[in-house]
Amino acid sequence: MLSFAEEIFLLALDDKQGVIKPLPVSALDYALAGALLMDLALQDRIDTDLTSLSVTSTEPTGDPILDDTLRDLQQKPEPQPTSFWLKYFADQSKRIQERVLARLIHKGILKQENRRILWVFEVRRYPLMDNHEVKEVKTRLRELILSDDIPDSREVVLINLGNACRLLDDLFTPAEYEKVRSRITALARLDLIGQEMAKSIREIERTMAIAMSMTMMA
Amino acid sequence: MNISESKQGNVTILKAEGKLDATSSPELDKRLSSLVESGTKQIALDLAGLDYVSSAGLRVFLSAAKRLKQAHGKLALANLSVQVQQIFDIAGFESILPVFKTVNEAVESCAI
Repeated sequence: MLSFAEEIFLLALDDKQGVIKPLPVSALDYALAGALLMDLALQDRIDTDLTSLSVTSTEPTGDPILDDTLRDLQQKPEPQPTSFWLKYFADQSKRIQERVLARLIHKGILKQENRRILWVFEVRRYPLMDNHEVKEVKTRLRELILSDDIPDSREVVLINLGNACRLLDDLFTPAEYEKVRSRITALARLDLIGQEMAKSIREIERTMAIAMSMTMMA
Repeated sequence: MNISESKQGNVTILKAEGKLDATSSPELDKRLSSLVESGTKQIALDLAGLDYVSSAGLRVFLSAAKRLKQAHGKLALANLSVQVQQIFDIAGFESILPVFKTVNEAVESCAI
């Protein structure tokens, strides 16, 4: 089974171009941070409520990225708000992305290609080698959202991550998406870490929009 | 956390008291799973004595509702404390789970 960080990375990848799709500002940084925390929560290492996140088990998961995350979470003696940790890990997103990419390449799901543009600029692309996992996740999420089924915790997390990065509309026709938009919102709300993550992304977008409008007015 | 069980007609009523967090949620999860596995199809949860629910606790309700729906059964919740109602409102759990003011209403909804 893929980790949430791997799944959201694959969902965010334009599989024809082998590059990350255009996403809201900082969305992937926060989605990867949220993905790590949500994986730890579903593996019973952390718990959250409306005020804080606490480590409930220090037993390693066996996943090196998650275990480093769990170690970092133990550095603060007092429980911190979930938003604090989301920012902490989002700030390390470049390093996390590199590790997630390396793992997807190692698993044979992606390959790395280096190309030169105008013989000078090197561009790195990550074409999909095996699209079975991506197809399976997309089909499962599409079917769940179109039905009135109750999601499991894993599906809630994936919907939350996909919605925060605005990647779920790719799964539907525009007419279908209009019909399922409210169900997506309702399902994405069911996870508290995911809610905090979506809130952080919205706040950054709002700040950027204000900054841009002030620049244009100046 | 304390869990007690009673019956009203075909509906099993589980009364949960205390805190539902990462430590206590496996106990409620196990209790609900074994009820569903043994063929119980209608369960009402009386949460009057539950004064705290964390993310781990919310996942127990979600998983029980899913299991019961797959078994063509019903889960209903009743008597939410102010604190638990607040977390349900924020997470929007009432869009997925039926919540009632009294245990009798929850039992009636399960029995239909």
